[in-house]
Amino acid sequence: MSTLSRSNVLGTGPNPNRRTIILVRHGETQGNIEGKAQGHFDAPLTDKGLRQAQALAQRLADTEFSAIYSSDLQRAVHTAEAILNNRSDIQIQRRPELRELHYGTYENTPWLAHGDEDPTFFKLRIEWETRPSAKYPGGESAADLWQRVGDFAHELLAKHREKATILVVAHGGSLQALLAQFLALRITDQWRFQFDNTSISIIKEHPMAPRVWQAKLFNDTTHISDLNSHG
Amino acid sequence: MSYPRLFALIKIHLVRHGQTEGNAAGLAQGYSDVPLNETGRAQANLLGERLKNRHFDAIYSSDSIRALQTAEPLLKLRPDYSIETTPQLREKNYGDCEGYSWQQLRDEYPDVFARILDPAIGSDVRFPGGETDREHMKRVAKFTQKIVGEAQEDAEILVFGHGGSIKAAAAYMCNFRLEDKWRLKTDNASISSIISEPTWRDDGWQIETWNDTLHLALAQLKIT
Repeated sequence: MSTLSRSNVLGTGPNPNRRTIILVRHGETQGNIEGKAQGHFDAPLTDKGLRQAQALAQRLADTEFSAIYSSDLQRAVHTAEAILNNRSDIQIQRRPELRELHYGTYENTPWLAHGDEDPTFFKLRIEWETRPSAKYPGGESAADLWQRVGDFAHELLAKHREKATILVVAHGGSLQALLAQFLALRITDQWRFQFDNTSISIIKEHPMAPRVWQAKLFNDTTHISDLNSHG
Repeated sequence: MSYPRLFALIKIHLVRHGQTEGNAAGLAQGYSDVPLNETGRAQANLLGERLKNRHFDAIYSSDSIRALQTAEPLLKLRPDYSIETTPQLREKNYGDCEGYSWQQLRDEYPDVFARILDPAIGSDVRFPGGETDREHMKRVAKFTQKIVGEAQEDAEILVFGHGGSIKAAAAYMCNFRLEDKWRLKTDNASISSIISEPTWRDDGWQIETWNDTLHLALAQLKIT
């Protein structure tokens, strides 16, 4: 991706337009509880999922966002709306490119059942991780996801050229693809990052080098530790 | 939701040492055995408080004093814990350049500096008398192989190390390109956790959390 640099060169001077992106995975859904691959299946948040999002809203209450992007699936939109908590100064921009991976015939299907009864689901998963062109039947490959999320990243960076704090609310799979591309990792590295419900991750442009990004924080869920310990 | 496990579940929590005077001044410390400064000792205390109620099956540390001092408050709070120290976890050896600032390294060794920053070759370049990133990762990898080999199912392992050695351990376990490891930042006294994936592949290590410093200040809750 031409707007992101693999260079290790630490630049020539301070980068005053240093940008920050905050990545948030949506709150809990019934499918998460049941261990399903949801993909584009448009499930709402559970009550707990909404409480998780409200806890995150508290954490981010003093953060000023330059822009907010969300997957257009309702579990992401509702998470973004809870974070915004009726702030009137900013609109949520809904983007289909940020949707979860499309699992094709395995949409909204429990991982467990297929591990037990249909081992091909697990085999497909490993193949998907190691061979970028491998698709779930009727669904997407890693390369497909990488491309559409990359298109979004491209556009985002072109649109926000100056110092900005941008919130992106999306899904485990699409955030993995987004994070890996910002960090200039390989497509086969993307699944190495575990995004929990309403986790917060922060990536920042290097203080001395434009277009060079680092992870400052990954998958922090301390704002919901009470919710987790009390079920 | 629990899935059937095919492989052992193991978590490794990687802690970077607290601040030293060298960190504050931006120096390459490497093998140099420098202690924590006052800020670093305060960070170590807060870390001890954060971790004191957690269970760990094994605790390891670099034998550099700054890592050991970072572990000390936890060990005082938890006298039931013991710690195994190893030189394998030390920071990369900078050889003749220990104690140099990044600016000095750049000014005095411009060729080496430029080659180290080139992603295509940087992992095999050394400052005079020092280690390459690849040599450094190999010794850290030996350590991680050993602790994973000895770990029981559901093991929680705590490791006190250095920015470079923590990143090398995570990059090795997650099979990242070595030259990409600096994309993950580690602050002083931060906790970063990697976890094995027990349900679908035996090499399925993932980053669970990275660079958690919540214990250092509630101000961390604010995104700056």
